Amino acid sequence: MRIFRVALFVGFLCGSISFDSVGKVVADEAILVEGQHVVLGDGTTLSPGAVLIEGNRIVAVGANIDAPAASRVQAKWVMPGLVNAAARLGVAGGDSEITAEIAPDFDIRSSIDLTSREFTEAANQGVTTAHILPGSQSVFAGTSCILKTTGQGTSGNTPRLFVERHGLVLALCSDPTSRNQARGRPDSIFMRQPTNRMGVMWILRSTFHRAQQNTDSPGVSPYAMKIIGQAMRQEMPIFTISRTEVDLRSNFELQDEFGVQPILVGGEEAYRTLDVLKERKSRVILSTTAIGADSRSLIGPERTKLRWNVAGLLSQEEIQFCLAGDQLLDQARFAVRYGLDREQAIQSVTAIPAQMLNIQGQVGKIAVGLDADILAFTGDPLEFTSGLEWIMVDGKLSDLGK
Amino acid sequence: MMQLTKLTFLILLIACVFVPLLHGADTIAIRAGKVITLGGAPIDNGIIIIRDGKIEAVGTDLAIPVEAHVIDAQKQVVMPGYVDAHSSDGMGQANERNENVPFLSVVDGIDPSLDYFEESLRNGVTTVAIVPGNNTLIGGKAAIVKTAGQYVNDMLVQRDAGMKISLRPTSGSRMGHMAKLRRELDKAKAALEKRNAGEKPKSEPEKQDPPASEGEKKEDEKEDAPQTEGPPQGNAVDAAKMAQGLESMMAVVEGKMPVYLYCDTAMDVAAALKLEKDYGLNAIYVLGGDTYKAASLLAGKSRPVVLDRNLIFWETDPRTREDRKIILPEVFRKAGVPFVFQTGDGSQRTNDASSYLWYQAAIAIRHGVAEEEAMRLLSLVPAKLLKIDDVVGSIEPGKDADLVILTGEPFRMSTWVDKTLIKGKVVYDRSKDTKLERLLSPAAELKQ
Repeated sequence: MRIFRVALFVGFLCGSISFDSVGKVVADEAILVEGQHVVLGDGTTLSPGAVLIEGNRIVAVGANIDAPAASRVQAKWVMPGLVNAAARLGVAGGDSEITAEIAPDFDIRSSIDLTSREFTEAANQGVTTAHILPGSQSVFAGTSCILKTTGQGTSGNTPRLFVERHGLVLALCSDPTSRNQARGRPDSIFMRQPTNRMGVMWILRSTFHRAQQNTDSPGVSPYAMKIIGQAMRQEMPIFTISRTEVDLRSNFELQDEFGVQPILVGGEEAYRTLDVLKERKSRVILSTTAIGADSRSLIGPERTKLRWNVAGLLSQEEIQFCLAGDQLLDQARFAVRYGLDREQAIQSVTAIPAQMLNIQGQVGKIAVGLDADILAFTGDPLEFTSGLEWIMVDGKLSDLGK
Repeated sequence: MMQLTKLTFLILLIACVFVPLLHGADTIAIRAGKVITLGGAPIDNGIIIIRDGKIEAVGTDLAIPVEAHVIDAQKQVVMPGYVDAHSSDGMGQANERNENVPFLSVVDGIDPSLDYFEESLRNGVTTVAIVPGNNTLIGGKAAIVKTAGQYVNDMLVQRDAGMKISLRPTSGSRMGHMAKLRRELDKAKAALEKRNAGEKPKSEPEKQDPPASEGEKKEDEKEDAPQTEGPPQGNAVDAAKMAQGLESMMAVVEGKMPVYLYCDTAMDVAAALKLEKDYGLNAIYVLGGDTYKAASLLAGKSRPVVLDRNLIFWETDPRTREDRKIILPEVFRKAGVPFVFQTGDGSQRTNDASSYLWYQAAIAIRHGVAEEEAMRLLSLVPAKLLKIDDVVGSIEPGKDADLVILTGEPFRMSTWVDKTLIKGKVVYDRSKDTKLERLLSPAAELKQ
């Protein structure tokens, strides 16, 4: 491992590439990554393989690439950077605006602290792209955004905004009611709806109706209604936070009534509605993969009953899904342990989430024209014993501060 | 009458069928694709002969006794059962509210029906030291148990296996916490000196005993203990408890009873080292994450420390805001401090994999520990730490037949425990694990 690291640095010195005292390397010229195994994320693995990077883009991928001018970086296992489709990174001071139920114009971007350590931690676990959603305390929770977790700034490890105002996030779960039903009655200072699931659905339906008919909604700005309208016309994706079986099914009602095509976030009990999910060609962002030994780890948010092989079952039914949340790589490893196909697991943390976020033209694979977001591992990335050796985001290499 | 004959017949039938089976089951032979003995080099295509719960022989050219029940593991890997050197799981509650309770024993709190034990077997853990939690001063006595059994007494390897002492203040300051602890230790030391000087109360039958009484005497002493403490006319129950606590603490300062010494922060390590020296403690260091800063203080210790469950965590420098990733196995390895892992400190778990002992070892491998060493860290090293390596920890003749049969090489993502044996009995069999089946294919449970 040390030899590799030395080789890496010598390589950079020869290529007259500047690097600062922390060891973060800023590359201006072409970099050739040569891996014993290169997992492309499209179902193929090149053994060996090579990836040529110029600037921030991948310009060539192949078994052998002749690029004498490029500085060479060797690695054992190479794969695309991970895409976390439901992250909560760097959100400072709460992720929900609890004073309003219909807040589609609230932008999570305003709450993100780019200097937060959470970005560094995520990058250290191989997450290079993160979709950050507002919290689930309001029914119309706000708009999400997508960030690269690192690669910017003089230190080379500052995150950058990648896609702003990406999608509209709805909380089709009981979270928005929790604050309003203390001691069994609505007694908060806001005295507001919803206090139960009926209330959640009522707010969703009535607001969608008003947006459809272009009528004003009391207390909701025209701008906010405009965002809802855009989302209903599918000009902006809708992400609904739904975990229990009944919440997942409610999405189908909205789908029928308003023609919306929500991407389901959570999906803890998706295994209970496999047939409908398949029939409706639903897309699911699984945000909890139960991986602990303790029985308490089988109880998810909203007391959902977690099961171990949800990903495997979704895959079996050919339902489009991806994995998301903390410890993303470990989730993929455990998903394989529990029955998910290896290649599916790789794609469910790279190419598929990129596709669900509609950024497949930029990230999610090692392919020509895509951003050079690449990870190098000391061994098979799906093994627990393999460690991340370095990561590259937008063509900038970081040795993770080691 | 008819019923009775039927019943008799049934009993006879059961007796005819099962008695010979049970008898035969006393001898077991395992044909293994690979045996990781830890006593020597791994043996390919090995045979393990087990008789009456003990390993009789392990090797390649062994004749399988005719009466032996044969377990076919020719495509599998057999390892010694894993040993967890410190866990506060397996009890309903890890700590008594009172912080000074040396008279307590986890044996009274261990609940064999908790899924902790089931999950232990499912993951190859066969022996565990159950120790009171860290939220205490003197938390009570630990016990070493096997993970299979209906009744705690059947599971016991060693009762009173150590005393839990935590240096993390339960309330108030560290100064107060340490002062209270020293007071208790001094009290025990004084009582011990008094006894050694022969100043025992007249009612004490073992008055003539030499001071260096052996461990076996402890039980007798305990029974007599109420008479040694205070007026016999007082509250008999309380006096008994107090006395038992004092007896245990005397064993602690005598160095006979090991101390699971929990250090929460780096400063606790220095304090613990001083306590160990001042009172002649037989200390097993149980370390919180922050203690990595004091790793160098522990360098040169031959006895492994127990690392925190969270092997990797982050810190931010309060002045420079610089982020640092702390990898405990790496820090301690570089400092030359031997270590073992733990999976349960009794606190609420989040959804992470640190509750698997094999996962902890896999992380250590990721950060520089050799694979062979990691295997030893799962069983032999903790067994030696607990001084039970004469019965468990490796696959060698004479030891308990506590074995894990793995579907493949250890630490691999796709490797599962196929069977777990304790004292030669199959206590976990993956093919019969309906719970696992339901977790992996919940569709089956929905159709029911």
